[in-house]
Amino acid sequence: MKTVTFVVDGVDRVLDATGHANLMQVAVENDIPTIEGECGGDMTCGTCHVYLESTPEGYDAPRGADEEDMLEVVEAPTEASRLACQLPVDESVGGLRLRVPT
Amino acid sequence: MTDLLDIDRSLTTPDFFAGMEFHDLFTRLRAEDPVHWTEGTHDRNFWSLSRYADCLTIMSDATLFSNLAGPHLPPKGRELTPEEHHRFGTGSHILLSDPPDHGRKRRPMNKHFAVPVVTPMRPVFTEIVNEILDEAAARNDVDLVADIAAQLPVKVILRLLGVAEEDWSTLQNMAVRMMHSQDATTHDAAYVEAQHDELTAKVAYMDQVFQYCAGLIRDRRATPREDYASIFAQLSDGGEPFSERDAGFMAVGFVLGGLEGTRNAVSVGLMELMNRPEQARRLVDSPGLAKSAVEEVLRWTTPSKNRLRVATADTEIGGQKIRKGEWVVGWITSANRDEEVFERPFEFDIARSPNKHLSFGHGTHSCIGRAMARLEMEILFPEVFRRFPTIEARGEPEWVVSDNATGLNRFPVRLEAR
Repeated sequence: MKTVTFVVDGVDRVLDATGHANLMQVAVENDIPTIEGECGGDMTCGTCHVYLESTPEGYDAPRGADEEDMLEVVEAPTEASRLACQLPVDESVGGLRLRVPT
Repeated sequence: MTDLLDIDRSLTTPDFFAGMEFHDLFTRLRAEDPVHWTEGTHDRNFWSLSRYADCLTIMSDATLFSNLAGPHLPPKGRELTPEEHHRFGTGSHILLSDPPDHGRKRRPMNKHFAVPVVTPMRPVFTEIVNEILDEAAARNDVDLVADIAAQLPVKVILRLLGVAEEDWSTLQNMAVRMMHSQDATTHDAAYVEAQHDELTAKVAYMDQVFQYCAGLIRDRRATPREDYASIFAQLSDGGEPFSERDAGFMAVGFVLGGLEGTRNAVSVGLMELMNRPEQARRLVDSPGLAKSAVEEVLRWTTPSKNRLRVATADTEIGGQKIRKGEWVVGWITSANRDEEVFERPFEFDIARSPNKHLSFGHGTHSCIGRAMARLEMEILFPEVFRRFPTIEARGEPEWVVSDNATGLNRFPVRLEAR
């Protein structure tokens, strides 16, 4: 199981990411609040901002320049900020944990 | 509409598209010939795609389907000459660029139009909407287009861009003439006298808008301000500043896209809501419907009907062989009524969900200003009907004559305040 945890208002939502390309899609599919993914993953809308809390071993998804650019304009960015559309669902994603801005 | 010749003649006649009756033709094409070779009266023949899935196909692959002939079917289907291409912004305007150039120009802009940047503009947009409706309320008898629909984007976009107020109407006129060049009522006397063709006019008006915008860029490079002209002036690609031409065409895109599409969607949207008082009332009573109402207006109107692409290699769409170099026109106005995708596609329903219309395009070239346009309309529509529960037609709506723009030129109405 590719299980990932979205922390929403302090509450863990444990979701199966299987069948999705990235964590924005997982969030949208499961009605996670604040995640709209309006542009579908083109990094043009800035509506899938999350804070990465922990990544499983072997999960490698570094921030790209375009993502850095968009993270400049999201609300309350931190070192942990990511666009969920840039977090791919791969074999090592199971156990990933992230927090949704509220 | 009896045979294919009639269909082709219609698809190449701008007058045919003034109104909503043209949808009957697309309903037939979707059912009988969804990838239709169109041999009408244009200089070039082209493929007409009428189904949602096929329109999505050409917008999803910007390499196989090039934008370099222009983003929309040009008037009379005439190709631009090399000199016209230059004046039209080919290679600089993001809608006339292909990957990888396109990405280099568009990526630095994305964050300035992202939802987190636009959402805080709500109070400013609300103030503008109130200003427009205060003026309209003082007169009661107004033109829905000139006094409301056109006012909104002019006041929002030209203020954000940093255009001096005394230049607003000049720039607005240039933009309307450029975008509605097939509509004889938009041309000035000099154009009529010179008997220019519609595409020549379009290029000339584009050049006027560009010259104005290039002036703004020069000014902001010397004296930056807090406006979008300054943002465009300072754009760079990996540390390399944009040329004045590239930065100028960014501003051109902002003016043309920002003014025309919104004006047209608002004019038709207000008319459709006026004609459905029960839905207008629901919109006022349930503010939560504002977002879905905007999406339905966008789907229903499809302010820009078509997308032109040129196949860069032999390929196949919907079982039809498409050859390299052929023009492929995606009629997204038809895609937005595709029975395969939308339930009750011919019903205007402000609560429609899901509503994955293609009015802002899709993929690489999707409309960069869509968050602004959505916010403008989301504020305007409920507020109009909150203030004026009854809006009465005082004449017939006059449609824009265009195979691309769907909107109104004029619609006299009487506003009745509560």
